[in-house]
Amino acid sequence: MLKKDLIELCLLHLLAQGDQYGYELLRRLHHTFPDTQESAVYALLRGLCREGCSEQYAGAVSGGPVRKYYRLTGQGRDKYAALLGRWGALRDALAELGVE
Amino acid sequence: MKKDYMARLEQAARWRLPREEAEDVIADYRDIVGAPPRSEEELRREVGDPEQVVRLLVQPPKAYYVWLAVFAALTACLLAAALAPLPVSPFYMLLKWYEWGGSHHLVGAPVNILTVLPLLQLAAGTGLCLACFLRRRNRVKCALPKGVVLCGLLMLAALAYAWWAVWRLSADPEQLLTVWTVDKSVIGEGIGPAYSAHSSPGLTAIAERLEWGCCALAGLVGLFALVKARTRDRRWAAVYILSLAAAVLSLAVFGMIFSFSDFGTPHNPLYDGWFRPYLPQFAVLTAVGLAGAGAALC
Repeated sequence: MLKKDLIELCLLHLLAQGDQYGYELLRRLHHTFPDTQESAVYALLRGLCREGCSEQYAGAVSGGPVRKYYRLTGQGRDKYAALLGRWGALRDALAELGVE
Repeated sequence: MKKDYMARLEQAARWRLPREEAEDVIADYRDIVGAPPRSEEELRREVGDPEQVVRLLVQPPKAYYVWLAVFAALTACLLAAALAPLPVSPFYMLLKWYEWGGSHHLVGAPVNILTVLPLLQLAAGTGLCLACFLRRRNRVKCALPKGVVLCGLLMLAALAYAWWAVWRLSADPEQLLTVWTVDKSVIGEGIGPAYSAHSSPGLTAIAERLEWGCCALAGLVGLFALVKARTRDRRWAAVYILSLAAAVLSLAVFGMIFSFSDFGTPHNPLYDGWFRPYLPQFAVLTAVGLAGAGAALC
């Protein structure tokens, strides 16, 4: 499982919890993976949109500018489940070797 | 500094990404770059270099490669005319080939490559440019950029100069020729005297202005307009089309001068209306250029 897959898993996980403001997603992921630039996370987020795993919409904020929000699609839930399964298998394999 | 960062990002996005995607990405990055107060150094470290930011988004790169191919084709159409005065250009070599073949009358053959080539070149460049930059969505009214107006007027002046050159040559050809000799060796053969003439400084100046002033200048302006049409405002495509028309028309008029400036044939070169066969070609080139530019501005 590559780092790219892990970041995608995190993005899908956050979106599974509810609709997210795009910039907030980038900041949180950059905070979790400080050596990964926001542009790389943004490219993965757009990649998920292109694959149909997530979709964007303009959300109104009272008194502020219109913001772009992202939400998970059915296809995104399937991918999330698949990546979660792979992550679980990897974690179990590492645990078997005693890697904490 | 943030302004510089965004300006570079906008330029890179519009160059590498399809128009709608580029605008979407630019809007997102305005949000990202503008949200917390960050210095350019912080932006480069946390977000990334503008060019790298866009490179990450060119996935799959097929659309970008298609644009590069279109850009190369449009540049080739323009430069084939703009660089024609150089001895290495195909146009120059064709002229030489005609010269070596003993034919200086470019409209003599039924389908003359020097007549058809400029028209094909202009039609291909205009068609491709319109296909690439024509408005596809509802029109958003905004003022025409000043640069489009200025460069457009410059290229209209180049077109006008080419037509002035045609008028000057047709109105007063004898004034433009200085030395006349009669080749008496062919008189006795019953085909009449053969004239040869040398061009005057006036004719040479016209030819040089057409070559370097119109062709080369139109090439530079056209390339600049092509980049601007992609990265700024698609209406710069009108300037590209006008530049292509100016370069191609100047080249065609230069071809007429080449035919006119050496009369080593048994025909009388100064018969009435000698220039008329060229006029339909020049008129079509001008009309295609103006119509294409008009369509690009819509």
